[in-house]
Amino acid sequence: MSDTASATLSVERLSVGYPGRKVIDNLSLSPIRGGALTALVGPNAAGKTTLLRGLAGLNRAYGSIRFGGRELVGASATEHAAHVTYMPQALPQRVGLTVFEALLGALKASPHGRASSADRELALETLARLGIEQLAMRALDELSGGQRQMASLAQAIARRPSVLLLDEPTSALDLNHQLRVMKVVQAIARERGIVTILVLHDIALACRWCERIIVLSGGKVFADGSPDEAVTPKMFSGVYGVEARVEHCSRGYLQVMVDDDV
Amino acid sequence: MADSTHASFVIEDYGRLVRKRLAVLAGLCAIVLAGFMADLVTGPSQLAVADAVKGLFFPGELSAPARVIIWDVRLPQALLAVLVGAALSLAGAEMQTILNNPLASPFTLGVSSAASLGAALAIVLGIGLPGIASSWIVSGNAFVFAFGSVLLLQALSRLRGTGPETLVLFGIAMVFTFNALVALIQFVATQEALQQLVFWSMGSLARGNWEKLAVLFAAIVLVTPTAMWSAWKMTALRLGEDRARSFGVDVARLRFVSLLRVSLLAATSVAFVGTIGFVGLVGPHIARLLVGEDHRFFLPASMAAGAAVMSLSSVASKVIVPGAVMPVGIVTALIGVPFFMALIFLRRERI
Ligand SMILES: Nc1ncnc2c1ncn2[C@@H]1O[C@H](COP(=O)(O)OP(=O)(O)O)[C@@H](O)[C@H]1O
Ligand SMILES: [Mg+2]
Repeated sequence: MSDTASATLSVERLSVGYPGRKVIDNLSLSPIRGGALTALVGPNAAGKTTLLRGLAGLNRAYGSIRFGGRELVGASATEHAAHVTYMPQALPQRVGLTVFEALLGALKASPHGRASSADRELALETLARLGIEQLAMRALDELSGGQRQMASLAQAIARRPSVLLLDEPTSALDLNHQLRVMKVVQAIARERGIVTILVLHDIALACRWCERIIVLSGGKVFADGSPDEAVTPKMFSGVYGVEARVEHCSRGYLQVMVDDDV
Repeated sequence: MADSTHASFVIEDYGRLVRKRLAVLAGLCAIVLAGFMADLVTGPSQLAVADAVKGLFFPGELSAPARVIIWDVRLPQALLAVLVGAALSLAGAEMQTILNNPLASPFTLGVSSAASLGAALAIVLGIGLPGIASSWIVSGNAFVFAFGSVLLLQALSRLRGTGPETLVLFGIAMVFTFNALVALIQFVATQEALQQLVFWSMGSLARGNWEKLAVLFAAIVLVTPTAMWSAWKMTALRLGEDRARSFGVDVARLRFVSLLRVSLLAATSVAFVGTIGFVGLVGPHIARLLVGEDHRFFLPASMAAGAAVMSLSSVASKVIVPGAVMPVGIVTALIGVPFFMALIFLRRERI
C-alpha cells in the first residue's frame, strides 16, 4: 500500500450527476499528487459533494478517473473500494454501536486477509492517532457532533485507502480538534503517499494545510493551484460574492479578511 | 505512537464487551430453554410435570395416551413455537437493518397479509396450486403468496430505482391491498368458511406436526449461516448506505439476498402458523436493547428473543383460560407488549 507514494489521481472530462440532472459537466483536473493535502472549496451547491461521490464510485460517472494506471470509471464497486474511501458529510444516526465496534465494522465490511486481532490493533492505532481512544467504548449515539465526526474520520482513515476523500471533515469541530485533524491527516498522507482531497469551508484553514486548492463554482473549476494562486480577492468576489483581502501573516501563511458583500 | 498502557485497556475493554454480549446471548438461550420446557409441561390435558419430562427421555415408560400427548401434540407445538419465533424475529431483524427502518417487519410490510390472502383463496374459494395435496393446500397457498409478495416488493423497487424508503412504501401499499382483497373474499364467504379463515388468521401453533417442523427447520438451517456470513456487512450498513458502499459493501446485492432470506423465513412460518405479527417486530428490538447492533450478536440474539417470546406466549395461551388454548397470535402481543415496555423503561432509567 505504501509503495504507491508516486501514484496520482487524474480526472479528465468527468461528468457526474443524479438521475435527470448533470451537476459536474466535462470537468478536467491536472493530476493530483499523493502525499500532500488538496482542498476542494466553493459555495453551497457548487457540486463539491457530487464530485467526491463521482470519484468514490457512489454516483455514476462518465469520462475518466485514473489512479496509478487504473481506470476507475466503470470499475467494480469492490475494486473502487479497494483504493478509494469516502467519508460522507452526513453522520450516522440512531446506531446501536460503540465507537470501537463501528470501526471494526468499517474494517471488516469487505473481505480482506487480516486476522481479527490485526483489525483490533489497527482500529486502536487509528483511535490513538486521532487522540480519541478514550471514546472507544462509548456508544456512537451518545457522542457530541464533533466526537461523532472524529469517529467517522477514524473509520475512513483506518481502512488505509490510497485515495482518501473527506467531505467537510472539520465542520463540527472546535479549533483544537480542527488543528488536530489537519495535522493527523497531513501526517498520514505524507507517510503513505495518500491522495487526499478535503472539502473545507474555512479558506484560511485550507491555505494553512493544503498545497493545492481547487475552487469549484457551479460545477466548474473557477481556480486551481497553490493557495497563492487560487485564493485571491477576485476569487472571493467571483465565487462567494464577498469583498475580501488576502494577506500573508508574519509567519507567511495566507490570511483572509472579509470586508463586505460586493 | 499509541500509549501502550491505554492501548491494552481498549482491547481488554472490548474483550470484556464481547464476553458480556456472549453471556447475554447465553442467558437468552437459557430463557428459551426454560420457556420450551414450561411449554412442554403445560396443557389442557392433566399430565404431571414429572411424567412430561420423563416422557421426553424415556417414552417407553409412559402410558400410550400420555405418549401421544407428549410426542404428537406438545413437543411439535413447543418446537414450532421456538422455530417460528426465531424465524420471524430473524426476518424482522434483517428487514430493519437493510431497510434502515425500525418499524419494518414481515407483518408491517405485507408478508402476513399476503399469506392471509393465499389462505383465504384456499379456504373460501378452494383455489390452490395444482398438484398440492389437499392437506397442504392452505399452507401451500399462504407460502406462495407470502414469498411472492416479497419478490413483488423487490421487482417494484427495482423498477423505480432502489431505495429503502420506496420499498417500505410499497410494503405498506401491499398491506392495504391484500387486506382489502381478503375482506372482499370474506364478504362472499359462507359462514363456515369465514369462521375457518378467521381462526387461521389468528395464528395457532396447533397446526404443528413433524413434517412442518422439518420444513421450517430446514429453512432456518439453510438461511441462518448465510445471514451470519453477511453480519459484518450489515453492521457496516448501519453506519449509512454511502459509507457502507464506500467500504466495499455491495448494498443493492446485500438487500436483494437478504430479502430472499426474509421471504423464505417469513413465508414458511406464516404458512404454518398463520398471522403472528408482533414477534418479528419486537424480537429484534429486545435484542438491540440487550446486545446492540454488532450483527454477529444482534442476529442470533434476535432469534433467541423471538423464540423466547413465542415460547412464553404459547405457555400463556394455555394457562390464561384454564382448560382452553387461546390462539397464540392474540397472546403474543398481550405478552410481548408489557415485556417490551418494561425493557424500554428500564433502559431509560439507566441512561
Ligand atoms: N440526491 C440529489 N438529487 C438531485 N440533485 C442533487 C442531489 N444532491 C445534490 N443535488 C444537487 O446537486 C448540486 C450540487 O450539490 P452538492 O454536490 O451537494 O453541493 P456542495 O458543493 O454543497 O457539496 C446542487 O444543486 C444540489 O441541489
Ligand atoms: Mg456538500
